Amino acid sequence: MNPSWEIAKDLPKYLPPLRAKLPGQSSSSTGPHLPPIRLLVHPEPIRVNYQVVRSLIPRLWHLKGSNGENTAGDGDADDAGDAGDAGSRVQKVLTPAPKPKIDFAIHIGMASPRLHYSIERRGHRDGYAMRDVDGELLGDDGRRLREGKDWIWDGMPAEILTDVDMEDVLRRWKMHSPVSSDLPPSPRTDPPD
Amino acid sequence: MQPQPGRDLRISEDAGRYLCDFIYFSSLAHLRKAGVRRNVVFFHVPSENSTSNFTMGRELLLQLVRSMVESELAHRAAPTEAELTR
Repeated sequence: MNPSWEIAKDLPKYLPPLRAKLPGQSSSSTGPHLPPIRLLVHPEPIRVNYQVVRSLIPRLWHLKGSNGENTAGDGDADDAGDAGDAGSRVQKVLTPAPKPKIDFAIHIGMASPRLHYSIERRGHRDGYAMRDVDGELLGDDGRRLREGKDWIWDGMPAEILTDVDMEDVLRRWKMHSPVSSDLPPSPRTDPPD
Repeated sequence: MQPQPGRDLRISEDAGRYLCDFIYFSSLAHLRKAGVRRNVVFFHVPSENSTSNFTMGRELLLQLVRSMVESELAHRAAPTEAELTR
């Protein structure tokens, strides 16, 4: 099974209202009134293959390189998910339906040894040395030399950070999220497939 | 009752230089080239295959969406200096 996909596949079409207040939560957890937030989920797990991912991303965003008026527009937000790590199978992405404007995206992936949940602040351009699930290397060093100015990431810095205010989001996320005592203990763990 | 995966939520600075990092950079680079705000994050979940892990992941994902939208709205209501000069 692929945890990223299991998480994404059954998401509701719209972000549900906050749960009823639980004992011990601060009153601030009710949060401000939000516009309707539509959730778009990529229809299938994304293969853990470098070239599949590379060709998918532009279609996922539907931005067409325009210097968009899009600054996380109004109302609808969407999210995207995806990704696997460490040989995992992948993920999923929340993706565009016909022509929606994507206001936000969330890629989802799993991190093998980790026992916590994290949100990543930065992505890296270089250093991809592991083969993907189809046994292929990324091969960008050679591609960069051959293609020069035409290389897809020509002119991009070695790291790119999200514009999301991570500290603010983390604070809000902790406030809204259940602590383990809010959840029923899980009676069993499914065997790995 | 078995040990549960840690419920703590963190910011990470290293997405792992595999497909997770790769898809994240792909999105970040795409948005940077398009000249738009990079309203994207990567959510890393434990790899445990259990119903409780999936349920928790889904709940945390929904609350992450809510938190991102709230944060964006708060910034629009009270933009920082950097945002005003953008």
